[in-house]
Amino acid sequence: MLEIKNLQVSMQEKKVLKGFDLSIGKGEVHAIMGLNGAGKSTLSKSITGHFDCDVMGGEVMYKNKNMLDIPPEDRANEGIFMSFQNPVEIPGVNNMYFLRSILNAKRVYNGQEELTSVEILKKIKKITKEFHINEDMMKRSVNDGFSGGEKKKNELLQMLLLEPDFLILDEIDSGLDIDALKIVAHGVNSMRSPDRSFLIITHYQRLLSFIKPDFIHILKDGKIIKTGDYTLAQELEDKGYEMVEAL
Amino acid sequence: MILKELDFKSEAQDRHYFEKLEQEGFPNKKSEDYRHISLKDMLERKLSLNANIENNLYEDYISDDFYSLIFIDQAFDLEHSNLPSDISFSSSSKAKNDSKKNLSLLSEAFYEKDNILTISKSLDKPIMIINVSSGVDKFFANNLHIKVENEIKVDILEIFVSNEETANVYCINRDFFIENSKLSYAKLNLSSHKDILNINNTIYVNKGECTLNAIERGSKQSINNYDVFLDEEFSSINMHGIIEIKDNQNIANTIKIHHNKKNTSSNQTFKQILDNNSRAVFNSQITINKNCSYSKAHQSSQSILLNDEARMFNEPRMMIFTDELEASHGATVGSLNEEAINYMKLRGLSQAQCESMLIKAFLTEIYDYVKNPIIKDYIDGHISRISI
Amino acid sequence: MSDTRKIDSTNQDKALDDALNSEYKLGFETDVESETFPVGLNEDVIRAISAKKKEPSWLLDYRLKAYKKWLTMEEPNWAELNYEPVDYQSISYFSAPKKPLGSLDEVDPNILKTYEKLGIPLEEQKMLAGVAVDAVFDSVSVKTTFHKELDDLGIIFCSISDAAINHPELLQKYISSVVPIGDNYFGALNSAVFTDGSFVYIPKGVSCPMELSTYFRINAVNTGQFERTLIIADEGSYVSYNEGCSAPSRDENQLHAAIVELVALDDSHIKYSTIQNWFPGDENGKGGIYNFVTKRSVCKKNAKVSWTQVETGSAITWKYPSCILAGDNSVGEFFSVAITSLAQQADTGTKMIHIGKNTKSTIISKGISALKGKNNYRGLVKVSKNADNARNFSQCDSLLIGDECSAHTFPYLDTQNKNAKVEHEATTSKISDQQLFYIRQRGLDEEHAVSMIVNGFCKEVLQELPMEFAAEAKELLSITLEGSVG
Repeated sequence: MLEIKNLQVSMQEKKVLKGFDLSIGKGEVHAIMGLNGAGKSTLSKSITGHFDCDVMGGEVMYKNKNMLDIPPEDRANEGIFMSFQNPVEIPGVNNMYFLRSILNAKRVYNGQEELTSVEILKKIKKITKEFHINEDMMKRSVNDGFSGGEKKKNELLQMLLLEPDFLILDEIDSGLDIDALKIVAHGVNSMRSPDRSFLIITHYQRLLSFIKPDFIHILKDGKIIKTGDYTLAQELEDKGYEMVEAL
Repeated sequence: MILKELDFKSEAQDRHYFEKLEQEGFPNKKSEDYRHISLKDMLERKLSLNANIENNLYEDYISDDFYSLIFIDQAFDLEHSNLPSDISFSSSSKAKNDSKKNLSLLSEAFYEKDNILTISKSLDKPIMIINVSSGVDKFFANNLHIKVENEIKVDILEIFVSNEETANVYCINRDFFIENSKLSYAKLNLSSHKDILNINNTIYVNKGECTLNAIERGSKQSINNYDVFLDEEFSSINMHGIIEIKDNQNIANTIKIHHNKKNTSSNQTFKQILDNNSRAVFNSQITINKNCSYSKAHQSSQSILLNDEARMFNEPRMMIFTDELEASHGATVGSLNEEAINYMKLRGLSQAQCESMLIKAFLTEIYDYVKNPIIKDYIDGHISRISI
Repeated sequence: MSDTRKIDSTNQDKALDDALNSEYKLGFETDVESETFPVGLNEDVIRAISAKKKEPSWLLDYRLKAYKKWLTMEEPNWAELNYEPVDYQSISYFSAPKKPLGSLDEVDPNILKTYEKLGIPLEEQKMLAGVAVDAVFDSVSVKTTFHKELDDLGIIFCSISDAAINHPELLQKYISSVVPIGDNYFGALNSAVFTDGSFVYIPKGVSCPMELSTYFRINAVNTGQFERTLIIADEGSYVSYNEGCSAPSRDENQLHAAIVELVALDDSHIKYSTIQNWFPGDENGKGGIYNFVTKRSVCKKNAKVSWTQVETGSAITWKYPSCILAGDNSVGEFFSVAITSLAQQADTGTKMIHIGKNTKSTIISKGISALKGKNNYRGLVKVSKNADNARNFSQCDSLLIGDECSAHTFPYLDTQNKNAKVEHEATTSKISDQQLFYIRQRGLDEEHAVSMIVNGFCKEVLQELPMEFAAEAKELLSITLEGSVG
């Protein structure tokens, strides 16, 4: 589904990814772990087309298209969804209106009929009910004045609504208490399917005990230095990141 | 002499500025900055120029905790001043400065040379500049350039004092040049309630920081002009003002801050307490020019009116020509919290005690901006001596 | 939208009549163009305007007085605006309806593009653009039902010219009761030469059941450059009045100097909403409208006036809708969105004059500058000596898009009462890259994202508009900002 080859990216004139390779197949769940500054965020930003990233070379093939050639919104509409670590607040923009706009934008891009407000509301109600999301959030401005937990739930809601094919979860566990984490993990797990792939970026092993990945990669200095299965996270948890240093 | 008549051509020491003044004329109500300021008293009064150098009023104010520089009337008094050898104080022929306008031209016209105080080494004590004067219906002009350079940090306190019966007109220029340094400058105006005091400050910050703390209680009329130029990256200006006036006193603080480079910052906080039929003008304009991104500018004016005859004009203006910045301003006018007064009265305090406590609480924030402990103590001592 | 469209049927009628009559006039006059006065302004021109409109003699005297006053005045230059001086002797002060164009093909394609974006039906597009139309509009039946309802309530809603003939006592009593003849240069000019506009009177205790509107688009074609509006809300009454329209209209008059006077008598409430979208000119400001408007209201005891404006058009906008809070407990509100893009310049804001006790005013101003736009907020809050417990809150926010534009804030706060509370806040910011990226990552393109953020920025103001108007305003914001990013 996603094929990254020899990706080289600079951030603020500093080389962060120096020939990064990664291949994610349909239905697979990959986790990227690493210390701060290893290049985890740069990777997710490069895939989604963040303005901070200077791509110097390489390619990001997704569904056989090079994502580097198209703007962020097209990548999103192709089915790449990123759950932000710190979702930005957009004052004055009604959340319900926002959800309706993004869903219809995707539908239009993919040549589908736009849904009516009523149809969308039905979809949203179904999600909020199942995942214990306070419906009050629909009436407020996007992320504006939301607590950390509410913001993450709002990300989850968008994810469930848009039904993307490829999900990047950037530190979705940060700032969550255990109950909220369980809800978010439940949401993510409910989306797992043979047609959908995940890239989970995390610092801690905690999240991975709720969302079990198929592969774990350890990132250091912009390169994957070790790949393993779920047990690698456990090993990392036990030995700490000194293990990485030793590699 | 009557200033408005420009009948002092023979007394004017500087031809260039006198002629410029002749051309431009004095500011009037048509100019945006002087709409609420009357210059009538200053410009139409009959004034004389002779100075009285015998004046020992400074003795009441001088302190061993400071190095001192004394101006009596308009003349520098070398004998009683006490400056360390590290500091150079000199007079030199004048540099022409095109940014001088309005009232600063008047002061410039009256002296031949620039007085220059150059500080390029750190000092063990703060500097105090004392301006004393006496007499009635006299006109005084003086100037001082303060240069701070060489990556140092300097604290200066300047005070303006006169006898109660003094009733003069002062037109004073202060030019600050801050290069790669930090200057903290406090100003204490305790001059007679019959004096008219006009101070034109021009401040250039070339990398570094200038902090100005103005405490205004004196003068019948004070007209303070501040022109600030942030001409290099990483230059900043902080201005804090306390205006506490009553009776017929009036004050105008007209501020122009020019952000001319990126990464410059300005901060202004002024607090006014106006009693009786006093009037105050806070007129501040911040300009953030093109290409001055990442600049920060904040402006705030808070006022309390103690009387229905008192009047406050707030004109906090911003002119923004770049999109990458942080800017805000706020102005409030209100009265003392009646409920707090009632509460305190129930605890046995008099109306006057309650008011003075609340005023003190309102002003504390600004007094606290004076960081140098020696200057702070000095101000505290002299403020409490003079009740308003 | 159809409700509001019905409302101004008087004007609709008039415009239709004008359009039809011009054909007839051809018969006995040599040329329809001769209906336009020669350029220049003098007493004869004013007499001729008054005669054409069959005005009572007091109104002619009023015009002449204003003209004499105007001659003694100077054009103000204190606003931060740069524009070519207006040659008042090169303007024609009376023109009959323009000769209609043959078809839409003769209309500026840019204007047509905007009509399309706004989704304006073809027939309406024709009327807006000044193309000759068949009298397909079923105006008569609309007019009867609509006017019957207003008549039953005693509401007068007609053109100022009609009022001069049918309601002279009301007009004479209130005209210039809020904006004196010599109030300002452009106001004096308007008083001398105003051509038409709306007159509204709401009787005691009546709440007007519908939005009154000049929104009625056909009206915009013949509004003329010196529009005059007078609204009187008698004791305890209520009216909501909508002015302008989102579609840019064809207009060859560069100078527009309107006056709007609102009289809110005891316990009444007037809500006045404006969408202004005159032609802004090109990217160098060429050809755009100069919009110099005087809008003012007086509020008597317990009365309330709310001004809401969305200003997206004109090359130059100079307007300060104001409230004189004369009566105790009166309330003034000003909600404004002003967008300047291309080379547009706006100097706009409000004046809140607190005279009565317990008076309250609120100012919310949102300025958006893009491309080479220049946006100034200028506002006066004055609390007079006797205005005990006066309260004012002002919030002025500016948003800049790009680094060629500018945003200035010039508040004047004059406080003379110790029990008053005056609060002013202002911020300047830009659209954050983080916000843009977030929205784009969810699949919306950059222009969408910008318009979404801008709409959010303006929300406090837009929500004050009547519903139909608000929807149109939102659409307009997006269109105005098109091409300003990326």
